[in-house]
Amino acid sequence: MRYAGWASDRLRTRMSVFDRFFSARDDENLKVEQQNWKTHDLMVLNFYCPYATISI
Amino acid sequence: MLRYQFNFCILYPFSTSTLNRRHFIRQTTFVSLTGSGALAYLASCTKSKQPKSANPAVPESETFALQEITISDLQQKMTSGELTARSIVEMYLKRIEQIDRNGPNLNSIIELNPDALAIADTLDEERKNGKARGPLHGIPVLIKDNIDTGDKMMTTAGSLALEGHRASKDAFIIGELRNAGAIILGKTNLSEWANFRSTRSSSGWSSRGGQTKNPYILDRSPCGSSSGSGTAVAANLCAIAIGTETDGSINCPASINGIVGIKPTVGLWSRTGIIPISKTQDTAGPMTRTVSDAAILLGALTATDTEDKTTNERQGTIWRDYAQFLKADGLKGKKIGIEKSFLKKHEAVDALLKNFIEVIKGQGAIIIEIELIDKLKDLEGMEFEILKYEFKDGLNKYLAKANASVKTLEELIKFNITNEASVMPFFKQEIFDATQAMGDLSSKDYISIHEKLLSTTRKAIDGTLNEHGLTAICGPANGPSWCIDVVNGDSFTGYGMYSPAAVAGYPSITVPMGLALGLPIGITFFGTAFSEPELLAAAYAYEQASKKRTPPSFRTTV
Repeated sequence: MRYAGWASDRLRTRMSVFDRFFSARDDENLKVEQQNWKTHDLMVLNFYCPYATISI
Repeated sequence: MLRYQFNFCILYPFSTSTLNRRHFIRQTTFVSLTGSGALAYLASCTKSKQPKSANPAVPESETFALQEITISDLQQKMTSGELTARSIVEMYLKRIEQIDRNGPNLNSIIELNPDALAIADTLDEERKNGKARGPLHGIPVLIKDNIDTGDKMMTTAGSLALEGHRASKDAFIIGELRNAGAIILGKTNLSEWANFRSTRSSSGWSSRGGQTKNPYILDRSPCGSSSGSGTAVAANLCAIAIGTETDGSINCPASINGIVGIKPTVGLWSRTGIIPISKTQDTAGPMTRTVSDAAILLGALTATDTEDKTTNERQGTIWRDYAQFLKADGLKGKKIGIEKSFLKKHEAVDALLKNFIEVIKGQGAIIIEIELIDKLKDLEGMEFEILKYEFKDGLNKYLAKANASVKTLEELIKFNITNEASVMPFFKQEIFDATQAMGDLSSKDYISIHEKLLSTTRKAIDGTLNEHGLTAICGPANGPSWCIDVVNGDSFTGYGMYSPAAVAGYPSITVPMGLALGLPIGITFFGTAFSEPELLAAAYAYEQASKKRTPPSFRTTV
């Protein structure tokens, strides 16, 4: 039971992430999270690092 | 060339062991793309990979009268009366119809100039009356679609958001081009917004123009963002073309399409009337099949523009004739620095580089091994910060004056969201979003990063040049081209020797170095500010000694 409860909690946590993600653009927390992701991705630019590039 | 640690999702698209939030978002974004718009486009891509003609190699290609023709050949033929500007334009229009819009469907040209033949007639009349304006008189040129042409053609940066936008006047360089007697044949497709919209874009794709192909192997990327200019020149759809670069956008498509590209020193050519990314790094430049043609075009458009401060306040000597510096022995006794950290990445590129070294040694050059790239490692991310600040500022200024329906970056972002199915079927606009969040150019962050980035990069380049007495620094422009993939975006294959010059605002020239498995690879020469004469001499000497350009054969796949 304890295991099931743990799994259930875990699932609930996961579902909440899914829900938050899909429910959308109105969710301010998600907006922040998405922005963090974008900022993070854009900040990990690896200047002069071969193999992963974009040409502008 | 701006770099991201981004392409692992292409290599490991569904790896659960590496699944994290970023992977998840990418994968769910992928799912969201499988809407009807995306499916329809994918279907059309599949069709377009099966050329309409049974033989996509274009039988007429071998006998095309203007195949590999140069500016001086064309001038000779017009002077002798063998050709007229009209007949030249007609031949290019026919070829465009045959292989850009049919056959292999290269899709490099976004719009043709309805006045091209009339302009040709006027120029033929002038020549008949004894007035030839110079080496560009009657020469058909293609222009990247982010450069204003004050004529019947649109200027859209490939975006549907600017569809219908006709510039009220020519960009400064277009005015110079017309004054020199060139004929604007049409405008070329590009990576939309010069590839400053999404981190997962496909080079050569725009919402208005679709996907441009690599003429060597049709399912491969033409690189970008001057994709159409690169493909069109390589496939002999024009005499010469103009591209623009912020970091890689002339050099990369030049390399990958087997042609010559020059990114001039920032301040040599005016940027007035060009849809901007960065006032620090942007410049237009020549894209041609030979170094000679590039030198002719470079000089013709070098001028001072009161509206572009970088041309007004330039600290260096400029020339109206760069062809004077082309000498077959231009490498004799010259020290050439070659980046050694670019060895042992792709064996086919290594083999080409080895041959390059042998050729220039044979021309009397002295090879110096250098490691410049290491000196610039600390600048990670700074370039992109500067570009974001400057893009917002520059684009808002451009749109405010333009005749377009969107007047600001914010309105552009909203337009893209409203028209997501047609504008963003494959990738979104996260760079736009990030850019919109930036402050203005008076921000302390901008000022301090800008100063550090420029001074560090320039010191590193100039220090290396001076330490060894180098004429130029060289290295492979790119690895072999990758497959076009609008779903996952580009899969760049490394190198990018032109990036330090792009960040510094210094000149670079890429020249064909040979083919790797049928795909062109270019060698980039770069140097300090306004060193175009020395770079052209070295590039020309290598070109003449090696003759590595091979016209494309339009193979469907490797």
